[in-house]
Amino acid sequence: MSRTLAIQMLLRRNAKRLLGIFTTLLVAATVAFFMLKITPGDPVDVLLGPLAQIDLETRETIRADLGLDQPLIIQYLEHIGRLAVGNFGYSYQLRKPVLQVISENVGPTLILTFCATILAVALTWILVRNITSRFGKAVVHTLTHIAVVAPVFWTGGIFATVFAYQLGWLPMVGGSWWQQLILPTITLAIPLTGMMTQMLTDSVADHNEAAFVISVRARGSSEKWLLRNHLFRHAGANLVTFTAYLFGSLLGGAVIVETLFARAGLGRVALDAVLGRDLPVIMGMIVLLTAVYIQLSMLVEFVIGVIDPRLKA
Amino acid sequence: MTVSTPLKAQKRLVHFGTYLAFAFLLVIVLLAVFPGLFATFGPLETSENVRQAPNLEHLFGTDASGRDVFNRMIFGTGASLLIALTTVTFALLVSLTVGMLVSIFRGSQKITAKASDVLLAIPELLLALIVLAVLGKGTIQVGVAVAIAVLPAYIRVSLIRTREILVSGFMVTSKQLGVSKFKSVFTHVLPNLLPRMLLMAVLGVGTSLVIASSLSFLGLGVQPPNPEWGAMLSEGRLELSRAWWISFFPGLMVLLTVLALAEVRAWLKRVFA
Repeated sequence: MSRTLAIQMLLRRNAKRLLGIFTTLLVAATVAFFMLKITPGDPVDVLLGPLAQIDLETRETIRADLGLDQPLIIQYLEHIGRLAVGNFGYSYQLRKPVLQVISENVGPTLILTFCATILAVALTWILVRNITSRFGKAVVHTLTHIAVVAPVFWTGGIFATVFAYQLGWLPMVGGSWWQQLILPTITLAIPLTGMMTQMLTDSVADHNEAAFVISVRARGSSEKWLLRNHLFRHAGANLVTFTAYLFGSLLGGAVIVETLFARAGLGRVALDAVLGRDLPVIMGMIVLLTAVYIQLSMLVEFVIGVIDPRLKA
Repeated sequence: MTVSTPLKAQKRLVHFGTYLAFAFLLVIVLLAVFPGLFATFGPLETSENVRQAPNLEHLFGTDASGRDVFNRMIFGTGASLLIALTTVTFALLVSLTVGMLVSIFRGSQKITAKASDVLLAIPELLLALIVLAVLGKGTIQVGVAVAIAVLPAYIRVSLIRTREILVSGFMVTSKQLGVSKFKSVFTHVLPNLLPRMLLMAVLGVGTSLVIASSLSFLGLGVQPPNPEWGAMLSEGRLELSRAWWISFFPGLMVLLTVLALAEVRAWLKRVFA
């Protein structure tokens, strides 16, 4: 293949991908905008709060100031234009720019989800690699089944009761930042570990009689070697996709853990925004999450290409 | 890909766990339909025995207003199951319709898949939260929110299965034999689509139950003092330091229900696959 042709293909592929990213973000932004519009209640009322008794003239001024007197299509285009330059609007409740609200709270959630993912990967690694006895496998099998379906609010409640209130090993309020991180991390990591372990063991069981496995056995490799260097590797690409997907879903799922353990974070911001009907914040979160999801899927594509070169497009 | 299939004893289809799961689900349904038969206290009956640990009179203890947790749980079963079942029925009907429509208007496959993919990017719980931001809190609102939140996954599975059916040999043959698209939807697509969707719906009841309870746990669902598992979890959250049993037992019920449904699904898979 000539060099110019290769460059052309690369450009075309990336252009297509960029277009895809752009459309996804645009759809997210559009959905967010129309959601705001179908919500009952006058935004001016929400904005004014206790000052809602203000005279009609002032209301009209505010309305014009917010651009709410414009036709819907103009409002929509302006909304998209503002998003394009990174202006997510103002939070009704907190009276701060949405971007500031999100950036102030993204740290704790990121730390929590990151720690939970790392812990889950480590636990899965330990469980799947080292437990080889039949009894041990049966125990792991049962535990993962429960871990996958156990609601986070339930496991979290048990951890809080046992380790914070009954044993008093960890504080529920106060304490250093890492002490506050332990219980939420474990709570969030449990379903994750269950899902990843299940996926790995299922994949191993599915391929136990595949041609490549039989050929490795035929050359006399030990079962341990087979497992570590062939079966796990085979499941690797799927596992990376899955982990990234779970990491993305954790960002949303953190709302339960953050409420239960009274932690600051994006989940709490989302919940407060829902309770206070603070729609600009919610809209910002939708667009942000979509962006995160796109980033993750691009990262996954790259990592998979390294693990399994066959899948590189 | 299997190279050789060693002779193995026929795997047992029904495990001990399957019986347990069915028995548990039967009890749950009975509790939901006839709560009065099992109750010893009213769901809203208060007493001065507040925050009593589980004992013989109050099997699962009492809450902050002295109401019996065991009985509130019984009376809450109906509401919790109703939300889960309605949302799943809704998602099932919509996804079946989408699958059937797509097999008539084949050109719309890609755009529908894309649309459900965008929605799938948002975690279910967050999607439900977004809907609740528009609708406000309450029981019916939570039902709608859960239904919308679980829908993208159903549509995705329905689309995948429909595509499998559309490219399969029998569809090609039926087209060559001159069966109209409209007729083949009912004679070929639906009968093949339905089993897969029903299988999904079995565990889907559990998923809906967990999402609905999570929303109630956050204080957005069934409002106190009405009994419902999620609402009880929400009340128990604030009492966790003094009375763990208020939220432990409703949570356990959610967990056991989902476990039982998962076992029923596994059983169905063993029998039919």
